[in-house]
Amino acid sequence: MTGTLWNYESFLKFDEHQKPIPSDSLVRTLSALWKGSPQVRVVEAPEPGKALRDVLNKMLEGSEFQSILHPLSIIDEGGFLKGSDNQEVVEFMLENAPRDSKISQIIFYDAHNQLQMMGDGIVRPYVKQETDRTKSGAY
Amino acid sequence: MRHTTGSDLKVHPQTVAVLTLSKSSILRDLLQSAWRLRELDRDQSVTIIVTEDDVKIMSDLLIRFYGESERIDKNNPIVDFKKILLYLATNEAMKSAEVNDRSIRGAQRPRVVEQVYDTLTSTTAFQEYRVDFFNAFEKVKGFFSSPRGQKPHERYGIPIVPIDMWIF
Repeated sequence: MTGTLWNYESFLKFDEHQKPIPSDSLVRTLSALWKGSPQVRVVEAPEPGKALRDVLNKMLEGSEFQSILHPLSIIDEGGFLKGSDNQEVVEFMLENAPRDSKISQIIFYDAHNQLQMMGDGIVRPYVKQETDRTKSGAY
Repeated sequence: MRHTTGSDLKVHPQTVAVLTLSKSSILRDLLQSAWRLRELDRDQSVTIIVTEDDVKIMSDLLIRFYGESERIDKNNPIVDFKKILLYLATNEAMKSAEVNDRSIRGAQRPRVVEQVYDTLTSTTAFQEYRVDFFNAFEKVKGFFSSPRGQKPHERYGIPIVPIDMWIF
């Protein structure tokens, strides 16, 4: 169970005698977030038609990403980068990673919803077993 | 947004992620997208970002439901995570209520329609009770079609003509 809200069609298929099985990962995630108390930053809304780099700069400016060495991922649930070319986002992330960052490759979904990995300027299909996760970020 | 649920990518154990949220997000969205970091309960972490415009909408909703104490200070660039959680849970409850209501109405309607239809097509009901068929249908036709009015202006509205174009 993913926690996805049901809709008009799926609701009718529920069997009233069947107990829903709650997701254990949701509880675990909420607990981890609660303990970690993530920072919530407010940024100016990206203007329509604004260059992707400006949007990304606004998203990442002043954040801890520019000062720490940990690898970066972007999870765009809010749709800030909706309509952008994912590969361009990934190029920006790699170009702007801190100099001493451990990050050297980023996994992303291409326009055909296939997982790709960019590293050393090359894009190639992502293969789980062959990927060194200690070098990977994701978008 | 499309892959914030379901994808399982092995990333660095100390990954720090930027997670964007919007006024449309619900708690489930946050939990699903944050769980892209499978080691969030260890050394991975997230920083959440929201836009100023959305924070204003979130704050208004929190005030409406819980009072002034839950206002989000728009001048503070850092927002209390608990207020964001409260907003997401409230938004999820509102959306759930809406789909529940629509679903229950959707589930009930065919049952009522079935009864009405059986009665209307019954060979005995109108003979036994001497109900006027057309009169009966008039009462229940809303179940079969959306009433749109009998006259043109009831169906299509009244056209608005600028006063300087009036012809007498």
